Amino acid sequence: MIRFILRRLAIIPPALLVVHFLGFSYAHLVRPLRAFRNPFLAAVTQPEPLIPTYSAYIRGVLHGDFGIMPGATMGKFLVSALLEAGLASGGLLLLALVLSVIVGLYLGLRAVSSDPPNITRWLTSLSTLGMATPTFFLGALYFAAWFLYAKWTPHGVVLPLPFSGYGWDTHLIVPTLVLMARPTVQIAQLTSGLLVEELGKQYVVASRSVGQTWRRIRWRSALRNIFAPIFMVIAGSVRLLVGELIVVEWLFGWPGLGRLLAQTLIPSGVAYARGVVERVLFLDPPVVAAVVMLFAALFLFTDLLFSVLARLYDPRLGV
Amino acid sequence: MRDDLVAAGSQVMKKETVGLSSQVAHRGLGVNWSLLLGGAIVAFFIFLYVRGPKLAPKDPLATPAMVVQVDGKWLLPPFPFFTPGYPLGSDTIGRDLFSRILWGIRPTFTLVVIIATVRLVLGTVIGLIAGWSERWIGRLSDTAISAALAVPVIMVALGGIAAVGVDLGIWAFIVGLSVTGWVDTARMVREQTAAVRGQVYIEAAKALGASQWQLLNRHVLRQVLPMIWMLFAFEISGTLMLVAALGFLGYYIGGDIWVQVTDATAVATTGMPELGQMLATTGARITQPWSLIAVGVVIFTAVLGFNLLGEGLRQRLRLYRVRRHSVLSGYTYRLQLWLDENVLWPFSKVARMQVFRYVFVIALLSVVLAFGWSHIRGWIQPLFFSVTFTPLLEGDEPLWATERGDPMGTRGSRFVGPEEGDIAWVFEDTSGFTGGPVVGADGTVYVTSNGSRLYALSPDAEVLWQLELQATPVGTPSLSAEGRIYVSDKNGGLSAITSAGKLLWYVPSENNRAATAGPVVSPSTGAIFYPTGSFLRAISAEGELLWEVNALMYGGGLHPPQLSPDGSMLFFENVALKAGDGNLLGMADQVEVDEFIVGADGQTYLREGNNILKWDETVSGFEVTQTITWDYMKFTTSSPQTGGVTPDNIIWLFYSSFARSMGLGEDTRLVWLNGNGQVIGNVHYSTRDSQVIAVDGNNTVYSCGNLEQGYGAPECQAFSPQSELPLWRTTLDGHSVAGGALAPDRLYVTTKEGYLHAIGEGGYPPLQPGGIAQVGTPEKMGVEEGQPQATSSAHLGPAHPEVRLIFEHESSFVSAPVLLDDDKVLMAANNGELFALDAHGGILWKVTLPGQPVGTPVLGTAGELYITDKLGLSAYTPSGELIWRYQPESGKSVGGPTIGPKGVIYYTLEIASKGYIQAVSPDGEPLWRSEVKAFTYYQAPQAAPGIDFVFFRSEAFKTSDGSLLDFGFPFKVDRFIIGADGNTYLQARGTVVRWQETIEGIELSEDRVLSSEGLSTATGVTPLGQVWMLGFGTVYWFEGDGEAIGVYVDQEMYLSSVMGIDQDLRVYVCGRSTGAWITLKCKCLAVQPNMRDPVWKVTLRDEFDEFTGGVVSSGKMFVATEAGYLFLLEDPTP
Repeated sequence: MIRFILRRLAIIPPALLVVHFLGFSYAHLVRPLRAFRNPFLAAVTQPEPLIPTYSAYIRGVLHGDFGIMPGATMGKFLVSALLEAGLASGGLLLLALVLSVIVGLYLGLRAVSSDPPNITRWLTSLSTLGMATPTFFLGALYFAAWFLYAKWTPHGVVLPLPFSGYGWDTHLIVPTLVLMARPTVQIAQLTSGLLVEELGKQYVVASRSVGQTWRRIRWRSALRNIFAPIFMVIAGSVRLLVGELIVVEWLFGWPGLGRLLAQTLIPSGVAYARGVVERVLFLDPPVVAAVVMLFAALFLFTDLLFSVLARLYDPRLGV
Repeated sequence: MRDDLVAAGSQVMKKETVGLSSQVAHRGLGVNWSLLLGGAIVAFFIFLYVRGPKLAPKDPLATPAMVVQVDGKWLLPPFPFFTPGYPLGSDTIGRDLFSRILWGIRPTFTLVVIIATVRLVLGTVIGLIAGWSERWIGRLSDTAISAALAVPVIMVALGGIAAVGVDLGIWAFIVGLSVTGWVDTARMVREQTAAVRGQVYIEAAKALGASQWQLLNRHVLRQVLPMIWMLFAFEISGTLMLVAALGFLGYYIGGDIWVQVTDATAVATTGMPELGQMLATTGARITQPWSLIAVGVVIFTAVLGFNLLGEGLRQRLRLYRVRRHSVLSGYTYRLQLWLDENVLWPFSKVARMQVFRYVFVIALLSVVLAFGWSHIRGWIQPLFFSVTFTPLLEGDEPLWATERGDPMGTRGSRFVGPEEGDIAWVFEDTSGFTGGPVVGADGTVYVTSNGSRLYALSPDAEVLWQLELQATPVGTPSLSAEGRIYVSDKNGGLSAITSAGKLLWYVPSENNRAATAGPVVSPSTGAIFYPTGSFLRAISAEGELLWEVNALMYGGGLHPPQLSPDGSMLFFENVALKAGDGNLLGMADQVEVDEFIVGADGQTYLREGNNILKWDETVSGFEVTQTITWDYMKFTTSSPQTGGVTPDNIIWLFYSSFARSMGLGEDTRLVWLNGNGQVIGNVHYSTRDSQVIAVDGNNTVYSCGNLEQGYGAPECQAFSPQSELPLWRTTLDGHSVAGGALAPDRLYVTTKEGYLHAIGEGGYPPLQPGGIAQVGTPEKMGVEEGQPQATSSAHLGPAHPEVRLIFEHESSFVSAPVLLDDDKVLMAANNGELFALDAHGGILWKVTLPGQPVGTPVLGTAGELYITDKLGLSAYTPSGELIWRYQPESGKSVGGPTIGPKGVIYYTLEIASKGYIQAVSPDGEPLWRSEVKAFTYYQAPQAAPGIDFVFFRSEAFKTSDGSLLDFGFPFKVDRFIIGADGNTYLQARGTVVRWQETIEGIELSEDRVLSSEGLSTATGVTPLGQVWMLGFGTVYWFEGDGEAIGVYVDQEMYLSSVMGIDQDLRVYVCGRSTGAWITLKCKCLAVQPNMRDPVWKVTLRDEFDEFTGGVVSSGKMFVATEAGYLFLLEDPTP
């Protein structure tokens, strides 16, 4: 097991370096391409050779100069800016993940009837509705509710929840709920599917015929057998979470990595086609490279974590 | 042999399926609710897809009302749900959301279906390979699936679209959403394929010698294909979800368009509706989430429908279903069974025949192609060619584009020509001019000479540039809307020259047939047409020969062709051609055409002798709709030389013929007719060989001709229908007239001998302020807070400055420079020093203030100086002697002073973390103090002599007692502005409106100005009432009636402020450069409407610094930075 972990760990640094280089070259090569098509920017961005630029940047990094975060936070160092964004995202992500795993597993395991093994209707309906609900739609519903509530409450009353914004207090509640909605439903759906499949197996019939209770079969035998796939389901829901994170951070103005990624990849809102104002961060090579690398690190580490957990629980998977 | 065995196998299967009814008892009977519900929703959306736009109650682009009144309350868009007339409310500019959604479903679903198809095909192929092949390609596909699964699709999609760019339309989305989007399908197909591969019958088939292809085709695909519809449904829902999320984040198809909001105003906004784009976030949409919710419900329903459909299809695929006992389910199952046994099975038996399959597929395909394509093309086209950037700049249109004024050859101009015939100047080229001049949008005159030269002259006769052409030019050059100049030449070639005088391209002629007249540019396609004898050549805007045809007409092709108003037809003397391919149109068969005339009223006419026939193009060809005959025998016996129709439908006919000595023809005669053929004007004059130069907005005809052909000096006259006598007449240099052009208050006439005459005092486009009177004192030049001194007056700032660092202060500056006179400035530094400097940085006088200065000082009407420091307000004489000082007991000053009516000084004060406005009389006595509601109050208030209010951002105070005023505007005012024209304005989002207080109350003027972003950091109004706005990296200019004059965009100006604006509306901007990610530079630039590039741009400092402000005076500009540097940007003295 240790060797398995070490082997997987050893792959991570070179993989991250490759991702960093790919992210940097992507932004570096695409930026002049985009600028070229934009009559307003054509003169601003001069294409430069990739390799010297990258090596110069890496040399700076080796000397401890990671560069400066462009944009309104002028003069802020890239590392500290990314650290802040990473912490903001990480906290939100972790909270949403933990909650969605707890709620999702609870719902998924509750929603399975034993004889015959089947998923109850309410979960099917819930998951169908849940998976069809776009995240921004949930957010918009919240905004509308907030405004209606604010309209009906008398002037001067402090509203229980903030509209949007960043903070480790009540600010956290709605973004977490919106973020965890779809992953929770997904975990519940997949878990219940796994359990139903497991309960349909021959050994369940056998155990039942020797007089074991459903409760015992369910919690003793079946659940243990599906633990390993559940870990993989959770690992999959991290990816879903990250996809939603971009939208949620954008929606609530949460200054995390997802919003940063969106800012580096989306030029501007309305009036974009005229090439009017492009975001300062748009396709900025060091930022794109760093953000992409951080996301890659997140995926690699969660994958490692959950595959190790799965293997610990299910020796059949081998190392 | 092999086939027999396989056939035998299917025989066995057939036997198994015969007893379908015996399986009833074993097979599930439940109603497939998912399928039913999903199918219904999907069917509903298909219905909306087809019929939606027809059902829409309103035009999705129309903005019928900017403000609506509901229950006595005024509502600004976005209107909420259930606003009368707007069932789902409206978007931010008041377009009906319900109609927009009905319209938006079609393009969005077209996009989604295209992407889903691409993903499905990719996924199926990759999944099949990954599940089937054991060789490297199988492993590669396997790895690709794992890799694609590892990253959220939305991240890859964002990256892909960012790389391709939405400006390429749908391609960005196809690429972005398909890079890894196929993975779900691929995974399922791979699983299915792998499952099939392990089956015994595959082994058996292999053992029997079936090839890989046979295996895949007969066994694997048969197992996979039933999944396709299910997968397709899931792909559609997944894609729709992603498209919506991307739209929400700001990536959507379809660019922005300019929408006419009122008669005078246009606004840039999202164009044709599309669901994703309707979700795009703006501040307004977050705080008023009605449109997000409405569109969100549509997306939710559609995704739900497709998910349910997919789920239902999946259930259908499962063999065993839970049995449910209900009457309905029993009957539906029986019905299904009956269908299977009696319809589907016999049908599929026939369908299994190979021949039938091919015939059926081909027939189906051709039907779909034939009926569908023509229909669908219209829907898809906007997706593929979505970006429509319509320049708003009206002024882009040349004042005089071609020999006969405009591409239609109307000779008409909406401007009024000179009232007097005085020659302003004469420009000479001894080689002689080949034709008349043309006049660009900015008033620049272009003319070609026999010496192969193209001149660009300013309206003041300054040669801006000249260019040596490849061959001797012919006729009059032509201008395109972008300002390009096209010149045809004696070698039959065509040159395209940029407005800066650079040759863009040259198209030579293969046969060297000399051009016989200048070119004309189609405003719709940009194609250029010019005659070479009876031949006509068409060149594309990129410089490729489109066609060349022999028009087979009698004339010599001495004039360029005329375009029909819609640009589809060309009239070449008496021949009409299609502009697209040059095919001749057979109109002339029906009537004897002497000349085709395109009226300035947008109608097509033709002249048959002395009569004018109005005609129209109809389905059946060509139809004369009106014949205008008149009693010409009373006036003349000859046929007119030419004629035309003015915008108000007045017909003019022009008679003139050659040599009097030959006793032929007639002298110059001009007849004006109204639409019924009644003569409303008749002028007879004694020149010959005359030509009409132009007809101006007053229907005055300007004509020039000789007293005798080729002899004597030519003469120009202006004739009005109201008078028998010419309004004026002027004798020109030279012998024969080559051509002419009309500009506002200016007539240009060239002679073949090389004289270009400018008649009249004008020549500039009307946007250009001509002779401005300075209104008010510099401190009330309508400048927003933060730019305390942006002057706007009757001088021109530097045009090509040299930068000089004239002063360096050991402390830092807090104020912007204040102009004492033309080259003396006043500065306040952080260490409490106030000093006057000359243009060389020499200190004229210096005083030390009692406290640290705050903000920028101001000059009073008598030249006295007022300055605030942290402790109070001081007044100094122009030479730096203290007059008085006001110092309140508590509080500190936080903003600079402003002078209002009666010389009262106002400034902002902070007491106990609250902002106040303090009024101080001209002799230093405190008058009143009022609290400011704004959170930040670190600026100077706005006041001006003659205006009874002091403004601080969105608050207004009475100057008499300081009471806060609530005008009760029906919307939220973002800021009040005092215009340099002496009017009061207010800004609400991007709208700037003039208002005034009357006896009845507040009166808003009708006109409005909108910036596209709705955001501006500074806004001001010039003495002529033009409005400028500085947004983030963008400067907008608007005419007072809301018509946009120009927009300038530069990313580098993202964080900048306006230093001043001058007579030419040139805006001087300084700020930090944000383009580079390591270095920070302090830059200044001057930008002008209608110019893509800045007039100039200089870097002042390479280090981090902020500008405290600047001031513009004649030919120079002072700029100060926080670090204590004062720069002078001055035009070098000649």
